[in-house]
Amino acid sequence: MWLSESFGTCLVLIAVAGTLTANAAWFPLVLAIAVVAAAVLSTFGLSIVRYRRWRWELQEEELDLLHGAWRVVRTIVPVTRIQHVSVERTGWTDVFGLVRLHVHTAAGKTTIPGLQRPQADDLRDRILAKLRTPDDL
Amino acid sequence: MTSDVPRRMHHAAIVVEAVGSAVQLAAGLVLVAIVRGGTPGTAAALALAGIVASAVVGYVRWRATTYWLDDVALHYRSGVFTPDERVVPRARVQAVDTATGPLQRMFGVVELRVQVPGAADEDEVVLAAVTHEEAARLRRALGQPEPAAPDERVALRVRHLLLAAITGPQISAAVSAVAGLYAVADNVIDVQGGEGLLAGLDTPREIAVAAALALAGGYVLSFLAAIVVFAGFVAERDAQVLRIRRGLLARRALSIPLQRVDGVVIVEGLLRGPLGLAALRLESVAHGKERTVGRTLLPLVRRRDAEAVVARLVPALALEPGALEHPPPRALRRFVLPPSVGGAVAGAAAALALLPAAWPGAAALAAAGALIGLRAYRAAGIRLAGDVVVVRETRLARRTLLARRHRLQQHAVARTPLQRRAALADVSVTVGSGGGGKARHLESATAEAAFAALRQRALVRANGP
Repeated sequence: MWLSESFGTCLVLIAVAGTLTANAAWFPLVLAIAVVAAAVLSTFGLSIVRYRRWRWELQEEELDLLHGAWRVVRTIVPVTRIQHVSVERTGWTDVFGLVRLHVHTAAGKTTIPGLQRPQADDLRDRILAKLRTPDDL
Repeated sequence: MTSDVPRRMHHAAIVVEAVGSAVQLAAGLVLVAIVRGGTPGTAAALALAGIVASAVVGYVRWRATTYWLDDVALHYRSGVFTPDERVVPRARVQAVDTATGPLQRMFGVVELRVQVPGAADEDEVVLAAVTHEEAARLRRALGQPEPAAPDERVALRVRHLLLAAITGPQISAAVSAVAGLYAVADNVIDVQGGEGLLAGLDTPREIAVAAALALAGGYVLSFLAAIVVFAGFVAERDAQVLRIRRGLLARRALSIPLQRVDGVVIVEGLLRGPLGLAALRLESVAHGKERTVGRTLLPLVRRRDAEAVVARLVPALALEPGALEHPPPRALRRFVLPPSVGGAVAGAAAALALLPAAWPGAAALAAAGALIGLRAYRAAGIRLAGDVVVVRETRLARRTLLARRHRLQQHAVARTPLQRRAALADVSVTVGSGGGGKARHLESATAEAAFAALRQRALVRANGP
């Protein structure tokens, strides 16, 4: 699924390279091929890195996330700050049997992509169970 | 409290609603008349029709809008064809603000805005006109403490108001005003003269003059806008509530329980920074989605007094004297390099594309970028002091965020492989409004220590308020 999402960018890059080669005399073919190769490589490479990097862990009081291909970000979302949790699936994610889990706080949402359905439901239920405690927003 | 009967707003709401739509409607109709080339008579007739129509609209809207309180919530029902009922649980009310425009003053009523967390502007409940007694009743019922004699009071002096307006123009307001004027003017002239405003501008000089005029006009407008919104600015607090009153035409009164203040940002803008001046902005869930003006805690303060003023108005953010932990010297190039390279590239691109003679400009831009980077390096830092976390960064303006640790929404530490090699890392915190701060290129150990300290929420929570 990760591959599929960055595939769009890849196609755009290839298309740009193609048009430039066709229309602009100063744009050499070699460079175009290099761009295409880079696009393909980065799509596959980055997606794989990103996929392998993603970690999430629900702890006693916080949700601990680690992600990022180039810039590696570790984020802590305190459970008491979570307002609600939503699970998103689209036709495309269904193909892979995956869903995205959105964790909403007052500041916005944090997304855990590419979870398996039961996994997401389980995580959601566990977060909700922790949310049963009253909080003062 | 027992259940309440559905109530309507004060009759003045009819007028308020009507005037709101009348101004637009009448202006639109007059414009139509002008464009169509009608006589002043038809224009007047159309304007009159607009006024009558809006009066009807105002009445119907007023009839359709009711609100009532029950044990748990404030109910608000409005809308003529598709009635929409909003239920706001009392415990979720963040703040109750009032605004008193010229119309409200005429009728001796106030506009009441009930702020709800996370809601977009249009989702908050707005009662356009209620009497002062009713406003007080609602405020009480919604758990907003009675106004007490203020313990602290900071008023903006006229001199400072002028200074604030000169140095910190409300650029966004001005830009939209200029853009709007331009659109209207362009439209009118286009229809009448058959060509747009821009078509008349051929030489670079004319374009430059027009741009300068537009900028100057925008500046004047923004100056006036700042005066109008910030006139008579008073911030005061008692033991529980922070209150802010401001505005020339429409007096706005914000009140927010102190315990719901997430933090304060000290903003040193491009013009203010060099003058040793700053503005204070409030971070809270209640007003998070508002634009800058709505979040202003004080439009102008001397930079060296800023922390003291914050401590007076929001005691929870009082700081012991102490210094930020700054990035190590080896991080300097990471601050300086990107903006200077960016400047150089932009300059080079401009020289290539527009004027070959502009090459020295690339060097100048690169130098400017380096200066910006140096400034960012000098300012960046983080500090944890009790329940307060201080994060400083420089985008265009230098922003120092003072936030209450136990109210942070999330925090993160991030590093790229290059930073990892240099043992550097970024720490960022996010507050309820979705804003926050980031301290870049800190010593890795410092960053990890801050990150770990921020995680110890339970402890802080137990001791904190």
